[in-house]
Amino acid sequence: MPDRTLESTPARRRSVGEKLRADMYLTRLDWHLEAVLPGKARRATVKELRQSLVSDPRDMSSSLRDLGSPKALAEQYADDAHRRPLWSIGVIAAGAALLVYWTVFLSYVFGMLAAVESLDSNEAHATFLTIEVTAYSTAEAIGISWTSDWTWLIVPTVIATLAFLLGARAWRATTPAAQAR
Amino acid sequence: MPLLTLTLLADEESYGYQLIERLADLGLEVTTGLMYPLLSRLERDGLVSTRMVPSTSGPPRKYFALTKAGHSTRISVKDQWQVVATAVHAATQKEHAPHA
Repeated sequence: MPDRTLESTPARRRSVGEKLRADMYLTRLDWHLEAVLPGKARRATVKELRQSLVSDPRDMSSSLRDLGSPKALAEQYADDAHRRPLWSIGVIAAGAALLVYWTVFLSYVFGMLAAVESLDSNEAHATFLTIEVTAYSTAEAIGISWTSDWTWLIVPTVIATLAFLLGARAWRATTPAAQAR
Repeated sequence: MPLLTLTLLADEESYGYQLIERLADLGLEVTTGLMYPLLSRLERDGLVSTRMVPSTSGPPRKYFALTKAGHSTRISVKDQWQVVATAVHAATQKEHAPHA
């Protein structure tokens, strides 16, 4: 068979910015491929596309535009109508939900602390989503505290679990491949 | 697209981007977003074989060549295509023919 190594189109030297754009694209593609390909095939596909992008003679914008959106490209790799759970997206969704929860929670307790200070009160008690919170401000100390037993973990755990299951479309795990065809 | 790809590969083994260039030479603009998944499916179905060839200007390239099964599939798909093409030709000729 002819070896066209020497006569093939030369690859471009990629800048750091172009490599970063390619990495971001491939990461997003990897998330979407999780729905259509098993782990090994997914990793092989991403590796192959990475090599194709490196050896593509065009600039990175044209190469990525030609591939299309990561979601649409991932769909092209699907064998059938069966879709797998997106566990990576689930982890990201759970992380984002926890971040929102802790932001709201800390805003709430720091708001209480500001109120305690402005009202010249020693301390204030409140309940935030079943968690008892105390803000105190005395001549010796200033601070916040909340229930020390394990119950304060329940709400964030429930929120993170729900976000994980919804983000991962966990119900897809219960749909057999043959049934989805 | 599969028939065109199989036909080009029957003629000469190629890597993905090279196939796009060869199709462009034939006057067909095809995106890599269409070609790469198609090659992946053809490989999964055993219609093409692959080999990595070192490149002087970058990472190794994956070359695709037709397998025995690929040759048989190409012939049967080509026959089907001939039937469809003949039917379409006949229908469009009838459409353009003057009404009696």
